[in-house]
Parts: sequence; structure tokens; C-alpha cells
Amino acid sequence: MAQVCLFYFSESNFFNMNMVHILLIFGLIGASLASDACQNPQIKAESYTSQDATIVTNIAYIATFSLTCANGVTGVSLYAAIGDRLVPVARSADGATYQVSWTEEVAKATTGDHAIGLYDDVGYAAVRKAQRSDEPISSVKPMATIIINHPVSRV
Amino acid sequence: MKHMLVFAGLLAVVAVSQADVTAEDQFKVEEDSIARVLAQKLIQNKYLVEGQDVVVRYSLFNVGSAAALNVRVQEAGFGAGDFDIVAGKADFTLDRLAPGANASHTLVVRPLKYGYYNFTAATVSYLDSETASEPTVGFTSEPGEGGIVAFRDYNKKFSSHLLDWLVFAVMTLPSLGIPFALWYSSKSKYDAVIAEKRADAGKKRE
Repeated sequence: MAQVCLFYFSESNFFNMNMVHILLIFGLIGASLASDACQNPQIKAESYTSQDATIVTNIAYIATFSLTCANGVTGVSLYAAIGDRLVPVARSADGATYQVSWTEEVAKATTGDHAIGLYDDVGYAAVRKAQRSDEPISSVKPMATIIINHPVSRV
Repeated sequence: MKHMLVFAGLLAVVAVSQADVTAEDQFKVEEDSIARVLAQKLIQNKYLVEGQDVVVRYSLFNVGSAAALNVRVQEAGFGAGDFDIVAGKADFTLDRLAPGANASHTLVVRPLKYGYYNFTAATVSYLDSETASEPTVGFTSEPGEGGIVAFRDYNKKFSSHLLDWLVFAVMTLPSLGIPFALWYSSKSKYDAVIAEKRADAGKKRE
């Protein structure tokens, strides 16, 4: 992509470049960006939280999910909004399933539904921009959301 | 002789200063930006009990100046015969860990046997720059040896023992019930006698 642009700009025919060439270049750039994005993401998730608070010092919240895109894109890098930070989402060895997980101290662990927003690369850049202008992460719409329910911490 | 000593002294000073320069070269920080990932494996349990959750947390820190790519952690320490993986993946990859960023991953396992178990390190491999051809391989920290308690012993100490209390209540019923029954039967007979006497005295007055 960069090589094509350089070729066009370095040649002396720069001033002869017409609209078609410009549109073609931008079209190619646009297409390459659009094809990396996941269209219409479908998420199938399973979650687990450790409920015995006598044995563990930190409660684990784990959600494993698989992502299917309508345009068949695989290997999408995802980021999850946990608390006020974006963390990279771990992928299994075969790339098919993702895992979002964190731990909380038993005293601070909250029961109920925890909604986690997922962002792709474009969303990640938007969130970083929002963080720089001191806006909360929730101001950027996530690509998808998963919910982890923690019923009880039995002490 | 004196000149020799002075010369030797000068040589020594020069040698030491040269040595300082080479030591500096050895410890000089690389000018190119590369990633360096530190990995910590922690077992977040107060007790390790057979058949109950063991929470393992992997924390990855990138202390380098470039992003680490394809950070892969492979945990082979929880074999199928000894542990049951309840939730989480033992072999996972982070596509990119930014410089100065950290990430964590959790795994929940259940031990199938009790006894002493040595929790070993997992391997970490990552590309330390975008131009790296071979991955850098390292290990996480080792939690060390842990004693997994048998479930029976843990239960004896920590369960609420509801069934035991119920059985105890049922067993104390005879030693409370029999004296009460004896007292009640004699009390009711005495009440009957008293009522009869009052009735007789009432009739005589009339």
C-alpha cells in the first residue's frame, strides 16, 4: 500500500494524476481498513466465578467466548474494558476462543451482573482518545458486551 | 626500582579505568527499543483443598520500551491426572502488550488428589520488537510446593455441621424426654387428686 503511494508521488507525473487515481488509492486504503473490522459480531460466552470465599483470597471472574463475524474475519484482536482500563483479551492457542478474566479481593468482590465492553483496534483508538480528553470509557460504544454474573461468595 | 613502581602504579590505574569502561559497556542499556516481559504466576488461595477451586493468576508486565507481540504463555503444570481445569485456558496468547502496560489472566483448577504438589513455572514466549525473527523465551515465577489438604479433613474443620447438630438434638431427646414424661404423669395425677378434694369440700359446705 505504502509502496504504491510512494510510486505515484515520486514520479514526475504527479501533476498529471487525475481523480481516478486518487479515488483508487483511497478506495484501496478504505477497503483494507474495512475488511479488518468485524461486521455484525456474534458472541457465544460462558462465564465462571469462584464462589467459595473461605478457600480463596481473591475471587476469579472468568468469561470465555467465541466470536463469529458476518464477513468471516478471524483473528481479530480485542480489548476489554475492565474497571477504568482497557486490557488485551487473551486468545486460545487455536485462536478460536477468547478469554476475559480478572480477580478481586474477597472483601471487595461484588455480586450480580458485571457487563464488560469489548473493543477492536478501531474502538481501542477511540477509547484512548476519550481517555486523553478525560471522558469515561463508557462514552465509546463497544463492539460487543458480555455479562459475567457472580451469584454469591460463600464465606 | 622507584620508577618501576611508579610505572606499575600508572599501569594499574589505567587498567582499572579501562576495566571501568568495559564494565560500563556490559551494563549499558540497549539503544534500540525492545520489549521485555516479566511474568508472575500466583496461586491466590488460603487453603488448597482436594476437589475445590484453586485460583491461578498470571500477571504479565512489559517493562521494555517497545510493544511485545504474540505473547504466548503455555502452562503444562496442571496435568489431566492430577488436576481438572474448571475455567480458563492454560495456553493463551496476547496479540500485543504495549510498553509499560500490564495484563493478567486467570485460571481455575481443581486438584484431584491430596498431598504435596510442586507448582512449577509456565513458559512465556514473545517477539520483542516488530522486526524480531525469533521469539524470546522465558518463564513465569514459580509458586513452589503446596500441600493439598484432603477434603475430609477440610470439611471436618470448616463445614457448618448441620447434620451433626440435628443428630445430636435427636440423641438428647431421650435424656430430656423421659424425666419430663415422668414428671408430667405424676403432676397430672396430683392435679386430679386436688381437684377431687376441692369438689368434695365444696359439696360438704352445701
